[in-house]
Amino acid sequence: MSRERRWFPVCRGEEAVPRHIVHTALLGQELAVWRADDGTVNAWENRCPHRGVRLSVGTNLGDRLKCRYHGWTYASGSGQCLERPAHPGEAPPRIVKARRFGCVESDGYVWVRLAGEGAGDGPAPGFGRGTAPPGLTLRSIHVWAPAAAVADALARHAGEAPDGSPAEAVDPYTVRSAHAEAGEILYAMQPVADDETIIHAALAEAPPASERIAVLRRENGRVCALRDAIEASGSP
Amino acid sequence: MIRLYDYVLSGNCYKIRLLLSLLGLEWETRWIDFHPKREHKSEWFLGLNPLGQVPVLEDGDFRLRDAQAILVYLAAKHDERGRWYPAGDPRTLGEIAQWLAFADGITATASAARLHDGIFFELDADRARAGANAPFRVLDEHLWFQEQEGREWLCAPGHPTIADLACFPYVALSEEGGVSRLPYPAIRRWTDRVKRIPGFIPMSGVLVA
Amino acid sequence: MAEPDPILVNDWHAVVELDFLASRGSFETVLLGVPIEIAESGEGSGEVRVSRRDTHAPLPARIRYGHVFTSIGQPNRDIVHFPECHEADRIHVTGGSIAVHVSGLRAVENFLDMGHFPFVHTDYLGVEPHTEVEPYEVTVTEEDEILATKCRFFQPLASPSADGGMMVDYEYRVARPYTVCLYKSNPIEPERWDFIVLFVQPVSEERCIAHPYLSYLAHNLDNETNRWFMQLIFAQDKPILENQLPKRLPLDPRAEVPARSDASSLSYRRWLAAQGVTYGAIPAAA
Repeated sequence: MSRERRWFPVCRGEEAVPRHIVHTALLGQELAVWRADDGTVNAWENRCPHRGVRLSVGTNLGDRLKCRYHGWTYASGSGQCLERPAHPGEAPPRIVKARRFGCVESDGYVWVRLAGEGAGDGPAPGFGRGTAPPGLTLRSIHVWAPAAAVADALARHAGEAPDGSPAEAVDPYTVRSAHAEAGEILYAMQPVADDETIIHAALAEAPPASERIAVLRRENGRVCALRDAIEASGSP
Repeated sequence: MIRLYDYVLSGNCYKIRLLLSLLGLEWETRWIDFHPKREHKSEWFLGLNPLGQVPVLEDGDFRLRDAQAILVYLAAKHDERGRWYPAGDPRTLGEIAQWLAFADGITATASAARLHDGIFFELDADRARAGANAPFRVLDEHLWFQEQEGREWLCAPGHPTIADLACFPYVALSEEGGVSRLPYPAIRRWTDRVKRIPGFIPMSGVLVA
Repeated sequence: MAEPDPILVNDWHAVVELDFLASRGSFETVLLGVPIEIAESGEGSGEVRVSRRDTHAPLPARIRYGHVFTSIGQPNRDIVHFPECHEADRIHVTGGSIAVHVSGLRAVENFLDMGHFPFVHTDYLGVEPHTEVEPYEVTVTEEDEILATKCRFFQPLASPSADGGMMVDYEYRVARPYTVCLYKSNPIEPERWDFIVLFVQPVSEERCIAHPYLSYLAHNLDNETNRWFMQLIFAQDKPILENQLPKRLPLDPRAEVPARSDASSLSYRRWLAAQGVTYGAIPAAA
């Protein structure tokens, strides 16, 4: 299975806020991820086709994204260039388009893959729990380490299950653990670049509303401690 | 008349311009040739500020140095609604003081790397860059949890304070020092919010939202 | 990293601003990948020494346009001559050298570009909805320089001496691969030009230092005002340049998608390829 054809989470859906552009990367490919006012989420190559300026420093106008350099705009969905302000009133050639990647929203996250059509390789976008979405999505944590090292550390240390059973590496980018306090936790790696990973994590069951913030803080602290240990161990 | 001794590419000077603008105040500018002539280290300027740093503010016969101190003074004196520095709210004042000190940590790291990379300051830029990641992680985590509690700003009130203005410039300029904000999505959302405060003005290098 | 092209090695490059050197006494920098040092020879003598920091070999030094120029090869032509920089009713000042993490060729191309004024220099050199780039003429002269003429653009605050918006006439000239200048109509004497030259120091293929030199008609201007305006403007370009991917300039015409307004950029890329410049560029596939 090619990594390029696999779906990876790139951000929590609610963090693709209106009129904002998320700057992230997948397998070394920089992405501009943005939500249109109608709810559509776009994942584009982070580069204006005109002069190569990162689209993530541009402006999300609600139905189009505007490049910072010359004001060229690109339509949500199609990526079609709509305006080149140096030539007002003149339709841009059809071939001028932002480069788009496959992008879906599922289980509270935005999932992207760099290549492929249709169902493609590997698991469907999501945590693979069928119709039951996660109860609570946690804070995503950025780590200066390769995805394999991060997944390995999570599988070894994240478990601490009541019966002593270790966490389970579902596949090279997914870890499932059962924790005494939190219950089942799903971790999905976003391989940002060779030495850079974001850990996305979700609880299977939602805690009572009164405990939500405390649970978020506790799990955030747990993953940050693991991050610090991974980085201190001098992973390449 | 308020007079600001100012350098056009200084983030610490910019935060004063930003607050003056947000408060609707008028001021006069004395531009300091910080680069290339290092006028901030000239004898006459050291007479104004023995630390040889911009900004310096004069309001009538009162003179003040240090960007964070100037923010406190201007907000306390000129903000009639008492929002930027809420004098009667001890908790918020404590939070603000905490973030003003934190801003100096950003200056010592992210801003130092920028001065090295852009205008040739002699310092250990790799160390400064690495050093910026510690405060940025703290800031990103704080802002993420603020969002979880429905808050948009650094401190508890439902409006921005001088804490946001103090921390904003050298965060927004960090990439000029080689510090990417890709790892800090909550910081990126917060900088967008700061840029949308009514009356916001940019500086060169800070892109408007 | 590619070896620098002979045309660049055997040419003069600005490497430090005199006002900056005076505040430090000596300065270490890098030219075409070669570490060099510039030092004042003696107090007030006006002389400077330039040497390689790796081999300690001395390098030639010239002082012109408020900067020290040097070469890491055998210069086979003089530093470009700009007559405007010697006219007595102008004020002549360096703008404050600024390092940029991008190929110097990208910086030159940006200097030639009018279309970005409303978006990057908003309320100064341009403002929406005045975004149109009218057709202009680009030629390669007998001296093998690029000349763009009949350029016009609406500017709200074209220069420190401007008082409100106006249509400004421009001419652009690329004199060397890393040296570009512009002539723009003066707000007070519209029949004469203000002049700015940008000497770009190729530090590496992906880093440069921009050394601006300004010769503005003197009308009520002073060095300090010109300098802050130049730094204000150039520092608006800096984050754009540093967000360009890739950092080197692609010479393959299919690598990026130009419009008619990019005529000077297209000409510059073709000219670079014809001159055999590859340093700081991504050459087109053969």
